[in-house]
Amino acid sequence: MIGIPQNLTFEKDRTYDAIMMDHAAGNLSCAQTLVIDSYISMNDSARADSRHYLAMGGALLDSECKPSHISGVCLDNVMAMIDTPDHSTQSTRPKNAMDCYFDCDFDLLEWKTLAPGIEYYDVPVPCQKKEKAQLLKMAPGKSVLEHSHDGLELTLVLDGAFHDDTGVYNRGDLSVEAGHDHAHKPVADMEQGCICLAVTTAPLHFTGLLGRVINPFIR
Amino acid sequence: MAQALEKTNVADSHPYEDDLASVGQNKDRQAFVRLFDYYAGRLKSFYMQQGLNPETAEELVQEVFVLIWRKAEQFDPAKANASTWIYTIARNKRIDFLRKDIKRQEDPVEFLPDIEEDQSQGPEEKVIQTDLSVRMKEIINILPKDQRTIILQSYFQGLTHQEIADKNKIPLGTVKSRMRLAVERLKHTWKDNREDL
Repeated sequence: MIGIPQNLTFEKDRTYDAIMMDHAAGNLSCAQTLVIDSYISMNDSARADSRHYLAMGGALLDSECKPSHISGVCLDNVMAMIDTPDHSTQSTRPKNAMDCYFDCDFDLLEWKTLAPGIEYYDVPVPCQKKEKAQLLKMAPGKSVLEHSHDGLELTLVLDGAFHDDTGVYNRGDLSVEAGHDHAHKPVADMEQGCICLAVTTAPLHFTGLLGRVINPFIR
Repeated sequence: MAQALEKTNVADSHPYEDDLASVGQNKDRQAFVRLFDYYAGRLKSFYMQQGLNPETAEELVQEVFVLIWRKAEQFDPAKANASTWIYTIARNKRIDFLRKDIKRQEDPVEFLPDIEEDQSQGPEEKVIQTDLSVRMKEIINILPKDQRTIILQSYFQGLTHQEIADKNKIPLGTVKSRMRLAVERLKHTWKDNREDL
């Protein structure tokens, strides 16, 4: 199955395109970047899409960037820096997302209970106001309450699978949900359950009877 | 049209892929200086359009070139176009810069996602990136102004689609629609490119 199911709506498709372009342009939040980086590492079709959007950046750099004046010392500085092996530009980056999440045993994480059969783990990534990044673990057959979104929800399946009315999402598939117009109710695979990485830009809006009772408490 | 572009665009007529490969394989300083002469001013312009002041922009350009020197051995001219490869490093450097900025402002974080320049192309994905780049420039050159503006604001000014809508005083849906039209044109190029495999 390729990146997103074919039966997604036009709105989902163009939101997906916007996200992939924003990713290549470096405009996503840290948490959203984590999702898309992970998605690209798990999904061949996403990797191809990403390369194309990056190639667009390269083409724009060539053809649309009128060169600015570079000071005389800039090249001298660079030449001095490349001869200095311990310069601070050497990467001091922390662990890769893949190392952190996909090579570890999920059971070792400190999961918290959200509801019977549903656990979450707050991902320690910088989040913007109202943004939330969580790992969600759903036991086989368990479902999240039906909800719509005030903002954008990116959900990447890391293990197992889930389905909703837009299709089945297996490992490496990305679900893109945006806006109030569409409410969905993710249900975990009956045999495998599901572990996914979900980033939302605003609180979920629960739509069922029980959900309407819960809404005021999650704002 | 591709031939016409090759005559008019310096990047297409000069073997910057060869220069980058030579830096990687031979630590070729002359090739490195040629890359600097072509890309440094463009990268500074790229960063300044994203709101950085000239001094900071030039500092990032220096750091990008140090990374180019150190990572050039990973560059494979059969798989990547020089401009795309350098753009990816520059974009990652900007993200790193912004993250450090966030880190200074907020509580320390345990984890920050890393972004590596992806070189892990499988054999079925070995696209001829130079051809793709030339075709992409053709498409970008003929995009209607409203579509072109959105692409440039996204890549160069670092604006999200919502911010583009706010800045241009148009609905978000209109931004997405215009972008979608542009992307559809570009996807034809990508599709052709995949069919060439």
